[in-house]
Order: sequence, then C-alpha cells, then structure tokens
Amino acid sequence: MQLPYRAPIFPLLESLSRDGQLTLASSASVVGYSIPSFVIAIFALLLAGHYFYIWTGGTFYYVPGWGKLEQVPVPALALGLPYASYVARLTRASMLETIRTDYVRTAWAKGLKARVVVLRHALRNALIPVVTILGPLITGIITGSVVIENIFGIPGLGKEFVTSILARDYNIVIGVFTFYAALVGLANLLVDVIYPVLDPRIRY
Amino acid sequence: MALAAVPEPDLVTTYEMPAQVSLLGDAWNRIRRNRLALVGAGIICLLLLTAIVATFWTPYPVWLQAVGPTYQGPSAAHPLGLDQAGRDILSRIMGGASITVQVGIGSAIIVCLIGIPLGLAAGYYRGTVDTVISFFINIWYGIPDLLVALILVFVLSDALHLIPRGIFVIVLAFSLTRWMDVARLVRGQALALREREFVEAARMSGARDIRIIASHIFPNALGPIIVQATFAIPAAVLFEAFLSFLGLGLPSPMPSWGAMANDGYHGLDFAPHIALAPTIALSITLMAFNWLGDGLRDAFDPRMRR
Repeated sequence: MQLPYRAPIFPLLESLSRDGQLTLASSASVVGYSIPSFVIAIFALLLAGHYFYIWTGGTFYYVPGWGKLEQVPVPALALGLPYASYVARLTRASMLETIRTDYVRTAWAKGLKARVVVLRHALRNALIPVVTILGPLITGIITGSVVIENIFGIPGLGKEFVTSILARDYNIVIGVFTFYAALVGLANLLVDVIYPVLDPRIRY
Repeated sequence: MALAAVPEPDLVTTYEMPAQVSLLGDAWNRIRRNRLALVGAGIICLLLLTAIVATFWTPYPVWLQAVGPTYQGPSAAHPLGLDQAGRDILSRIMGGASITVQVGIGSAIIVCLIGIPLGLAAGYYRGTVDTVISFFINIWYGIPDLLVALILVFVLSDALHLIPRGIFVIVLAFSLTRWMDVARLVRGQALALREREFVEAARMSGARDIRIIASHIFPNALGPIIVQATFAIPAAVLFEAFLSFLGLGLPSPMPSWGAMANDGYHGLDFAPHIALAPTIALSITLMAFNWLGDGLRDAFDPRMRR
C-alpha cells in the first residue's frame, strides 16, 4: 500500500475559478470521478507499460524487490485520480459558497492580494467540508488498493487478501481483514486529529 | 316602485389559478435545461434498451466460444473483436449491459427498502429509536464497506453455500453495506419535516403515526431519495465490476464487464481491444449515472442553485 497521490493541482485550479468559469477543470473532474480506478490502472498499464515502454522501461511494475520510489507514481496515480476528482468537485462547490461570504468581500476590500484572499480566507474555510469526507475517502483509498495491487502486482495487503480468498484460506482472510479494519480505524482517528487544526471551533 | 333589475351575481367566478405542477413535473422542467443530465439520461435509455434486447437476442450467444480466431481484433463480422476464448465481445458487452442494469436497479431498490424505513423511523420517533438507528449508521460508516461486502459474498456463497454465487448475492452484499447513505438522508428529512405545519395539522386531525409518515413525510422527502437512489446505482455497478474483476464476482461464463476487463488485462500488450471495450462501456455508464444524478440533485433542490 502506498500513500495516495491526491494531485493537489485540481483543488488549486478549482479555487481560482471564482465564478465557476473554469469549466474545463470542472468537467474534467466529473469525468475523472466516474472512471473507476481499475480502469485508469489498465489504461495506465497499457500506456506506460506497452506504448511508452521505451521511456518507462517497466520501472513502475513490480519486479522482485518492491519498494523503489519510481514504482510508486503510476499505481498511486491510478488509485488517487478518481478521489482527486471527487475532492476537486467538493472543493469547487464549497469554494463557490465561501467566495460569496462577507468576510471574503471584506478581505478583498482591505486590498489584500488575491493569493492571500483565495488561500487564507476562502480556501481554508472551504476545506472544512472537504475534511469531513476525508474519513470515508481514506477508507475508499485503502480498500481501493486491493484491486490496484492486483493489477500492478504489488505484494501488499490487498493482493494477500484476494489471493487468500481465492485459495479459501480462511485464517489468512480473517487476519488480513482484521489488519485492514485496524488500518481504517487508525486513518479515521487521524482525520479526527486533523479537524481542530483546520477548524478551531471544533474541540474534543 | 320599480327596482332596477339587479344583475344576477356571477356565480362562476374565475380565479387565476397557477398551473399545478407536480414534484416530478417541476423537476422535469428544470432538468430539461441541463444538457449534461439529458445526455446522461439518453445514455441510460440506450443502456436499458441494450439490456432488454440482450435478454432476447445477441449476435452470438454470450458463452459461445471459438466463433473465430482467439484474440482477433475488430473486424466487420465482429465489430469489437473476439476475446481469449474466441467469444464475440459485442455480444458479451450487450449481455454485460443486462447484468449491469439488474445489479444497479436491484441494489437501488434494496438499499431504499432498508434505508427508507429505518430513516423514517429514526427521524420521526426520535428518542431511543433514533439513538439506536443512528448508532448503527455511524458504526456502518466506519467499516471498510468494499471489503466487508467482499467478505459477505465470500461467506454467503462460497464458505456457507447459502446463496449460489450470482447477481442476487452481490446485490445483497452491496445493499447491506451501503444502506446508510439513504437512511441518514431520510432521517434528516424526517427530522425537518416532522416539525412542519402540515404534519402538525395531520396530527391534530387525529392521523396515526403510520399515516403521517406514509402520506405526509415520505412524499415530501421523495426528491432527495430519488437523487440518492440514482447515486446508489453507479456505486453498485462499480462494486459488481470490482468484484468480478478480482474473480470474486459472477461465475465465469457470465459476461460481467469487470470479468471481461480482467480477461483483457491478461492479454493487454497484444490484444488491448479485449480490455478496452468493457472498461469504456463501464466508464460511460458510470458517467451517465453520475451526470443524471447531479442533474436530478439540481432539479429537486432549487436552493442548491449555483
């Protein structure tokens, strides 16, 4: 399992489209959200592993000795892209709401730079609903890695899970599943810890 | 003394009545202007049509092997080519559309059957009922649903042999892990609606709880429910494809798009058409449902206007 590469460029692009004029980015995010991760993985495999083999040299695929950095980006992109689109859509909706609020207008009126207004006043508050869905999102990414690991041949938890199910190895299934449950619980806990950092009104 | 003839009062007074628009009619008026949603609806109609046609007729039987050379690319006789067993991919895509429609609609129905009563009960009765149901909703949100559903399919059909592996067990596993979205939505709606004047009026006129819920609260929550059910369909379709791709879904001769993608994945470097056809069909289907869902959400909730 690898860290989700949640392309940060999408929300940033979205945040700049104050009136929703940047339709290219938003329609791209709708399309991206609808394409399942294993489809992106197959296309990525076809492109990087077959058509552009000369450039990539197959470095992204599992060869004995997983763990090199150059093996991470392609599977991580396939896994993270649908969620990146989802985050982009949510950020966009939330941003459109925030950008019309009074305190943002005040910030503009004070003559602050666009970067400061967009990033500090608008984006920070717009991100609160985004963080709310971060818990289910992380669950989705962790479970989504099951199929990605099988496609790219990564010897991770997900591959072990599917292999043990197909082999009817009940003990391994129970063990791996318990591990997954713990991982998801831990991730949700982490999200709860991030909350108060973003929104000081939330206290525990 | 002659009274002036009093003109007869005009008994039939005509009032300017605004045309009555039903919930669905109103939504239709708004969605008509949403081009993306209409495209989505068109694609879905095409999918339904394909599914209906495929139940009666496909160019070749979906299971028939060796109708031509294996791994053959697209040709005039076989527009999408043949797969690794020499089966006609176009026929299998059509058969897969039928499976997709069954999984999607079946899941949406069962999700609603579980989620709506629970949500209505929690929102209307509040108190202990709400506490218990909300507790389960929150717990269910925490679990990794995809893996639990996977385990459910595995346990129900492989380990215990309760239900033969097929469409129904997949629909059931999906619904048992994804009913919370609908339940939570309906609960919120019921909580808001039960305080409204028309519910108060119904209660004052002696309506029983079941009647208030069924004929006052439920119809008013219908719009968001339809939207949520529309979003449940692509999730279910994706789940089925995901399972079949891993080889844990529908058994082999059934033309599931996920299983076909898996077939093609093994021959990706020399016969990419086997993998591309089902994955593109799947992506377009999911996109259409998401577009329609977005359009419906905008149509049913005018306040969400951007």
